[in-house]
Amino acid sequence: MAISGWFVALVALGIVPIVITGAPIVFVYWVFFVVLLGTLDLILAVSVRALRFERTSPDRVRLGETTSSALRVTNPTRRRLRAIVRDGWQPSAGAHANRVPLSVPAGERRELTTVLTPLRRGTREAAHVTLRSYGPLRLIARQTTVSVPSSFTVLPPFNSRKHLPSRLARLRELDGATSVMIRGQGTEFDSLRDYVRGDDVRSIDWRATARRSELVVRTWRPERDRRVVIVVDSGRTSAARIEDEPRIDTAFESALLLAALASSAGDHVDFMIYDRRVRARVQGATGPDLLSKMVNSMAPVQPELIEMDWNAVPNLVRQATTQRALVVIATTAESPGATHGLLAMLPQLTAKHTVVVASVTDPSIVDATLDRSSRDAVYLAGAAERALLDQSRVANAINQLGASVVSRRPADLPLALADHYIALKAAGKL
Amino acid sequence: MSETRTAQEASSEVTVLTPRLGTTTRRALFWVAAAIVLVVVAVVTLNLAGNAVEGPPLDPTSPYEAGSQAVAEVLRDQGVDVIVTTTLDETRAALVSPDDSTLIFTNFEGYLTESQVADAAGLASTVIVAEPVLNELLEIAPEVAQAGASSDSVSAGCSAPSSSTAPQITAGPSSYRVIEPSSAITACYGNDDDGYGLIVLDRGDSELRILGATDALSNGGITAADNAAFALRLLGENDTLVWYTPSFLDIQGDGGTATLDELAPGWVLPATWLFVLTLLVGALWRGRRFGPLVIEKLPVTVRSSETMQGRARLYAQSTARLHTLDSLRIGTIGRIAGLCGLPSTASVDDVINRISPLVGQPLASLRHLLVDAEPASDNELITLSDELLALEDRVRTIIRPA
Repeated sequence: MAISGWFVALVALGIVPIVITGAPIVFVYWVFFVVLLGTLDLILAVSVRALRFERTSPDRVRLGETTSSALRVTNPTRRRLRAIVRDGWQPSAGAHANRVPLSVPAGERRELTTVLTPLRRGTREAAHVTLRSYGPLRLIARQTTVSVPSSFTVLPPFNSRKHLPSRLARLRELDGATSVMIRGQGTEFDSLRDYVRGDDVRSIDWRATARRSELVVRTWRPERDRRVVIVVDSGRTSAARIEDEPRIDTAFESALLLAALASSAGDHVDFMIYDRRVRARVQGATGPDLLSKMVNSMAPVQPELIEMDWNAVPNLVRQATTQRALVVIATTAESPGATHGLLAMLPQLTAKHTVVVASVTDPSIVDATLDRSSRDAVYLAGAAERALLDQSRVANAINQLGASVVSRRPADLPLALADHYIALKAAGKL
Repeated sequence: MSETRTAQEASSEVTVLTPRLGTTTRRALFWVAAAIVLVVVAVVTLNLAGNAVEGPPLDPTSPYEAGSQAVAEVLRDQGVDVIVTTTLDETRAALVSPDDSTLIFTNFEGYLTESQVADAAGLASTVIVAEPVLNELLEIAPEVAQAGASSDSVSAGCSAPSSSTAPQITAGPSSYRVIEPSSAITACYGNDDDGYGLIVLDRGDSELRILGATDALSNGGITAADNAAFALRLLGENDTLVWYTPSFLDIQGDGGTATLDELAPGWVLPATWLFVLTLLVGALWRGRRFGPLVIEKLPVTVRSSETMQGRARLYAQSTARLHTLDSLRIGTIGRIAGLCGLPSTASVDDVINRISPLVGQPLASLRHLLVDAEPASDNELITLSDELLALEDRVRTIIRPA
């Protein structure tokens, strides 16, 4: 049962007869009258138990996009339903209007659309629907909660896909003409063509030239069918928010852009999220299927408050591929203490693979070094300088172990990692 | 990614989470029953505990130690008509034959005004006033005054009616003295300080007795000494005994000015009720929750710069000025080296030698800033850190002019 504002107004209206008559007994009559009217209204209200509910909700949506969920209410009774509906989506599902008036004539059905703009990645759920069914006087409602469960998956936004066309263009430039400048290990023979002025004389194929009367050069293309293994750390440090984005989300963005690029370039991408157990794994997928599988596997993964188990990572990579591969580890390389496990594990990987450690840096640290306005600010600047020093020490250690480090602020990391991949590809180091 | 939709058809049976009225009632039944049991237990306990409370003193219906039910009951057995009254009007009505009646009254609670006491004192031929205070004495017997507290037992020493059978009674709690002696006044049961437990004033057609030794009448003291005989003689003289214990019903309003209630129009009171009711209903209207809460699992929030800030606080607490300055120096030197194109392995001296001609500063002063200076106070630290920042900016503008 719930009372409406009209009921309160009706109670307050009793002041008129009370003042006119001036008799205290009128108060009692008025209360009796109001209770009678309210009870009548309550009896005439349609029972929610008699209604039928159906919900249509989106299957999945990308974070930042807007979708809608429809709730169909069938009224099989012989009275009109006048109600206010609260669709019980959880707050992070971002329901715009949460209390909607609904009127369903007897024996008919109406659809109620809830516009949803999810605020967070993962599975967003609706637990129930609550209805306040008012009587014809709209004084008192029957309030009933009905379980109509539903859920949809919110996928990572993949904002960095806007960079994809420009990077794909750069990848294409590696094909054909420009790659003739590159000789040596790791590039594949493509075709022979006529010499054009400006081509490297070292790429002239003398045997072919001898067969024909004109100079012929060999062209090369970047090697294909390489392996790229992306390991995302979902441990404790990945929960940290930098520039209002958890590290793990930045790692996902970077992984998605790299995977899109690598699969276009004809490489095989394996993807896994790991802390102490495998949270998600995508293997053997190619083309558009790869990205779809990756976002689906990423969607429900949240950072765990446990320490990353680095010892198992070489084994994981071995399970993914036995060939030489580009191993991208998206983690945090900030303090020497916290990266001890990573550093201890790296030699096992670098012995066989090309390893890149992608780490998000906090731009507020650099900002802190520049603020010297007060005593506390100077001490903070000192601590920030110390943090930067730690970062560079860790990066040096990783470099010494034969891996390379890509560390940028969250907005720049996906692009920097993609560029690093293209550079490796151009240098034939895959 | 194109969004796909799936319809989740609800089953024909609606799963209603809100319990039916009957279920709610059944669930509430236990708590309602528990509340009733608690109330019953509380009431019973309070009633039992109430027995331990002392009743009002000299109350003829009270069986407690200070009460006087014993003497009243014995008088009834002896054939005296004991009438207990609680208001002055009732007392007046009970005294149908004032000449043949004894009136005893007290004013411990102060319900009666002096004039009411005076009224009461003139109602019967024999009136016993128990422990009157100064104001009341001035009104009814100005010849008598209070003489303080009294204790122990006292002997009669007078020719009052009761004294022959009760030579020795318990004195106290108070006593009175005669300040204007005359032949009409008989004082009995005096103590060493000229304080008397009973003073009888003969007023011709009536007799007023000021009684200080009320302990002798109480249930607790009636059996001591000759108290019983004293009490029975004192109170059982006439056929009727009116025992008047004033109550709050005796309090009179002055009745002069009209109260606010009488001045306000008739609708004000019901309007106030209506206002309160509207507030209550309004609270119910706004306070009713629209269905249960939906559970939201919140993500953990880890601040990334926590270590850095913790370290900064440690530096500040231990005033590690040199340590802080060294950190700043290392950062500055590293960045300047990068700007000048020196390798990261370059020593401080290399950097100083390189930038000295650039910025036009002598080697010694640069060395002082970048290596030697030790800040003795926070002010010096701030100054040095500002200089470091300025140096870095200068090198940057010289090498890469904007």
